[in-house]
Amino acid sequence: MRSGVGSPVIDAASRLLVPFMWLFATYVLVHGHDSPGGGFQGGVILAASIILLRLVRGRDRLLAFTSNHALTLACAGPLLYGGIGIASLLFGGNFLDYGALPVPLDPAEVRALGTLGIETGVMVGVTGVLVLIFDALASWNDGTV
Amino acid sequence: MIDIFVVLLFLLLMVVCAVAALRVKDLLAAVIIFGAFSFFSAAFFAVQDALDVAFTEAAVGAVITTVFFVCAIRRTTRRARWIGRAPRGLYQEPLAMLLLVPALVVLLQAAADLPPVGDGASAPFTHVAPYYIEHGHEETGAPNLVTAVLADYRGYDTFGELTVIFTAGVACLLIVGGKDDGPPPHDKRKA
Repeated sequence: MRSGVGSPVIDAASRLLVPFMWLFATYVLVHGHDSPGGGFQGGVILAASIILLRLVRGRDRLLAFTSNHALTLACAGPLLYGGIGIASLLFGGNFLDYGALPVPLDPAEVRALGTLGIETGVMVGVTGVLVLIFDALASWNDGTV
Repeated sequence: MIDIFVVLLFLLLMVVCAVAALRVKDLLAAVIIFGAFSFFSAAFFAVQDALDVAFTEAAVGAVITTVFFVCAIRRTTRRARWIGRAPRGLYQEPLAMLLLVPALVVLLQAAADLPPVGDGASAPFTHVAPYYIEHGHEETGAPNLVTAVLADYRGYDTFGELTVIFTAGVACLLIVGGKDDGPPPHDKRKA
């Protein structure tokens, strides 16, 4: 796995597949209000696409998304979630009471927006953690963590 | 009526996969069978109209977990090995049978008291669920009630879950991660 699979067929197939996986992950996140899905599922799909690239390309090829980036995302997710919670606390509501956020919209729409915000936090955190676990298990760490 | 048979079929396939994964000696084969187990589990949830759970099970159980297990096997060993005496069949262990049979009786007794699936008069459906169904959409703006409960009414719990996931990732990094100290043992043998 150090040098990846190295087959041109798999390389071409993954190049074709990954952009659509990103699109689908975003769709699952944003459309989670209306259909099955949400931050967790979207994050898992995003992490699966990154792990696919790691498996196909191998460790010796430099990747734009390093283990350090994964660690940053894993920390940013809970921070975003808790940050939105504390922001609603500062604007006079309870912890995670998105209705208190100062957005000039219907109360239900403000709550939907807050939900999207925390779902984004879940997605970012889950993506980072899953890639981090893969890097640790596959002894893939590129020395940036 | 068809639904009942499909549900029973998926449950049966899950049991078959679970037993096969335990019996097989090759750990890689066990991981693949475990992926099939997750797939049937996801199909079972989908038939039961629990699409959010089915989605998660398919993505995490069938895909990511399989990759993680394959990575773990690559770093350890592919054949199951026992330290000390190999375990015998269950029928050869009288003490285990002595403990398991009463436990089975108690569990079946308890299962008989559970309300039937989808019973509107059972305890979980009469407490806060009617409120969520009546007011969830207008209060949270989310037509998908699962999202409304998960991210809004029970947002505090979801924050806890995200913290658990974060802790798991950091623990993994601390135990097996860190800087690479050279190739794993089987790479050295090759060189």
